[in-house]
Amino acid sequence: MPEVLAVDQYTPRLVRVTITWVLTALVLFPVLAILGLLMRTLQAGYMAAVPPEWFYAVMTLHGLGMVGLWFVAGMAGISVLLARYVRPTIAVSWIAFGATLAGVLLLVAATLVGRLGVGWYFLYPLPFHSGGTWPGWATAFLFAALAIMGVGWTLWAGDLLWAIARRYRLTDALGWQYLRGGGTPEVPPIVIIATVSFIGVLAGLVAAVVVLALVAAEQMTTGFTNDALLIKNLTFYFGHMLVNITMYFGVAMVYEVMPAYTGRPWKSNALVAASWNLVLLLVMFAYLHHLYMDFAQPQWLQVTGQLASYLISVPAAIVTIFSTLMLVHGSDMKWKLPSLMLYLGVMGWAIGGVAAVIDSTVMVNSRFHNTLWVPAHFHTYYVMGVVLMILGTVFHLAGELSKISESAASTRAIVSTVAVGGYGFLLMFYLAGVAGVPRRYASYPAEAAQGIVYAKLSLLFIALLLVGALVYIWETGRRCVRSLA
Amino acid sequence: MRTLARLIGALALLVCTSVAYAADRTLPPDEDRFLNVPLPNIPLTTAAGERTDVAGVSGGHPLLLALVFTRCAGVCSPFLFSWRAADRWVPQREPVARLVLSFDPRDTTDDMAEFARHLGVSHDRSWTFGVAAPDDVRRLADAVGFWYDWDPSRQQFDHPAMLAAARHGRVIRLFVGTAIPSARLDELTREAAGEFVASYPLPGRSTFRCVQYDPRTGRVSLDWGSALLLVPVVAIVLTTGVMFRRARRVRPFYRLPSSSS
Repeated sequence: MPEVLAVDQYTPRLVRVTITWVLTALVLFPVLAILGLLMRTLQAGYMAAVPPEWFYAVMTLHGLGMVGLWFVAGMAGISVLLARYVRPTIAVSWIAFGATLAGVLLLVAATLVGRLGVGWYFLYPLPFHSGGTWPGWATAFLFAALAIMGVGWTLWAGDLLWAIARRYRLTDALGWQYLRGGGTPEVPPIVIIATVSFIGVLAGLVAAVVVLALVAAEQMTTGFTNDALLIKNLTFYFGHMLVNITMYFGVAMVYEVMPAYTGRPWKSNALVAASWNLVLLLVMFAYLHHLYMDFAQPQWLQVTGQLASYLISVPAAIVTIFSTLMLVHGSDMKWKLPSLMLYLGVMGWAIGGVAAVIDSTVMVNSRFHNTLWVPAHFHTYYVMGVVLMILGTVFHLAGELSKISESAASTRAIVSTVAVGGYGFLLMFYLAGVAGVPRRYASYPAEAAQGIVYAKLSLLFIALLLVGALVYIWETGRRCVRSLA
Repeated sequence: MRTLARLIGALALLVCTSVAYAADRTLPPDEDRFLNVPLPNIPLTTAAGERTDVAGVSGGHPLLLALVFTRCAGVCSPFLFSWRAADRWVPQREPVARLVLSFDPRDTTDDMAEFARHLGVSHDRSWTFGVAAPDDVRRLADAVGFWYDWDPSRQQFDHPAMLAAARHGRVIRLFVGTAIPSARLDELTREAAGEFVASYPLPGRSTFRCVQYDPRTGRVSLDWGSALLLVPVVAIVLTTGVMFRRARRVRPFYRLPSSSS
C-alpha cells in the first residue's frame, strides 16, 4: 500500500478550507440550477414578457458558473483526498477561494446587471460586438473575472502539482514504473490522475493567458486585429481542457473513495498508468472537435480531432468503467449514498461519453452541431456524471468528519429523485436534439415548435431533480457545519 | 412657451433623425442584416411589355438582382458592364435568372429595353430588364438593404452599386462595389445555386493567423498564428520539468526511500 501521511495539525486547517469550499458550492449549486430552470421555462414559452437578452445573460452565468463551480469543487475534493499522500499549501487554497469569489461577483455584475450574453465560451469577437445589448464595462468585467480566477486557479493547480513533486519524481507520479514492469514506488491512482490533470489544467490556463494577451493587445493598440480562428482554437483548448479535467477529478475521487465501500483496494498497475498517460497526450488534441464547422481549419486537424476524441474514450472511460464494474462485482459492496452516487456518476459518465463520441464524429456533427444534442451530452456527463462523483465524495468526507450516520430514507429520496429527475431532464434534451431543435434559442420559432413541448416536459423533471438536490444539500450541509464545530 | 418647447423638441428630433438617416446612407448595406430575408414578390413589367412578378422572372432558378436607373451618370452603366463582362467567365452550372429593375419612376419599359440593348443582352432570355410601381420597388429595395435618394442639385439619385443573390425567394448573399470581379460573381452564383461557398478575410488584416488561404489556388496553409497553439504545450512541458527537478532539491525528505535514485 502507498505510504499514507499521518494526521497532524495540518489536517484541521485543511478541513476548514475544504468545508468553506463545499459550503460555497452547496449555496451556488441550487442558484445556478435555478437559472437553468429559468432558461427552460423561457424556452417552454412561459414568461414571454422577459426579453431574449435576459435568456442569454442567464445562459452565460449558468454556463460559466457551473463550469467554474464544479472545477473548483473538484479541485477542493482532490486537494483533501491528495492530502493523504502529499501536503498542498493551505494558504494557496484560500487565495484561490478569494480569487474565485471576486471572479463570481464580477461575473454576476456583468451578466445580471450588464446583461452580458456571450455564452460560457465568450467566443471572440462577440464580447466586443454587443449591438447595444450590453455595455463595454460588462465585457471588461468578464475578462477581469477570467483573469483573476485564472491567476488564482493557476496558483492552486501549480501548488498541488508542486506538492506532488515534493514527494514523487515526475516519472513515478505518472506511473512509468508500472509501464517498465516494476511496482515501486507504489503510487496510488489518485496521484497519477491528479498529476495528469494538473498538467492539463495548467496547459489550459496558459492558453487562456494567450487569449487574454491577444484580446488586450487588440483593445489597447491600434492596427492589431486578431484572427477569430486562432482565438477560437485557444478558447476551446482552454475551455475543453477545463471541463475534461473536471471530469478526471471526479474519476480520481472514484478511484480513491470507492474502495472504502467495496472493501477491495484499487491499486495502480500498468493499465491504469498507460491509460492516464495516453489521456495526457490525447487531451491536448481532443478539443479540435469543437471546430468541425470551421471550414478554414485544415482537414488534417479535423481528422486529428476525431481520432483524438475517439481514442481518448478508451483509456479514461473504458478502463475506469470496466475497472469500476470489476471492483464492485462480487465484492461485499456497501450501497450507501456516496457509493451509489459514485456508481451512478460512472454510469452517467459512460452514457454521456457515448453521446459525446457520437457527436464528435464529423458526419454526425454536421447534423447535430448546435442542436440540443450538445447540451444533452455535456449535461449527462456533468449532472449525472462528475457532479454525482463530487457530491458522493463530499458526502463521504462530511459523513466521516461529522460522524452523523446516514438515513436510509433520505438516501432513497435523493437517489430516486436525482436519477429520475436527472435522466428525464436529459431525455428531453436528447429527443429535442434528434428532432433537430437548435440550442441557444431564447424562444422557438414555428420551425422548431417541438422544442417547446420538450422544454415544458423538462420542467417537471428539473423540479424533481432540484428536490433531490435540496435534500442532499440539507443532509450534507448539516454534516459540514457539524464538522466545523 | 409650451408650444415653443415642443417646436424645439420636434426640430431636435428631426435633426437627430436626419443625422442618423444621413449616417446610414454613407455605409454600404450590411449583408449580415439581410441574409435569409424573403424577397417581396412584387409585380413588374418587363422591357418587352410582359406583366409578371419576381417569382415569374426567377422561374424557380437562382436569381441575381440589380437596381439601377437609366439616366444614371455615375455607376449604373459601368456596374452592369462589369457584371456582363464577369458573366462571360463564370461557368454556367445551372440556369440563373438575372433581373435588372429600375428604381427611377421616370424610367419606362422602352428606356429599360434600350439599356438592355446597350448592354448587349436584349436577346438573352436569362436577362430581364423591367420597371415596377415605386412603392413596390421601395419594398424590394428595403428587403435587400438597397437605398436611393434623389439629389436635386445634381439631378441624380444617390445610391450604391449592388448585386443581390436570392434562392427560393430569400436573400442568400449581397455584393456591394462599383465593379464585380468574375471570381466574386462565380461565388455569388454558386451560393445562389445552393452550393456552400467559404468566405475568407482579406489578407494582411491580422498579425497572427492560424491559416492563410490563397483564393487563386484555393490552397490553405499554416501561418505563424498556429505556432501560438503550441505555447501551452511547450510552456507546461518546461514548467513541469523544472518544477519536478527543483522540488527534488528543495524537499528531498518528502520522497519515499524507494523512489530516490
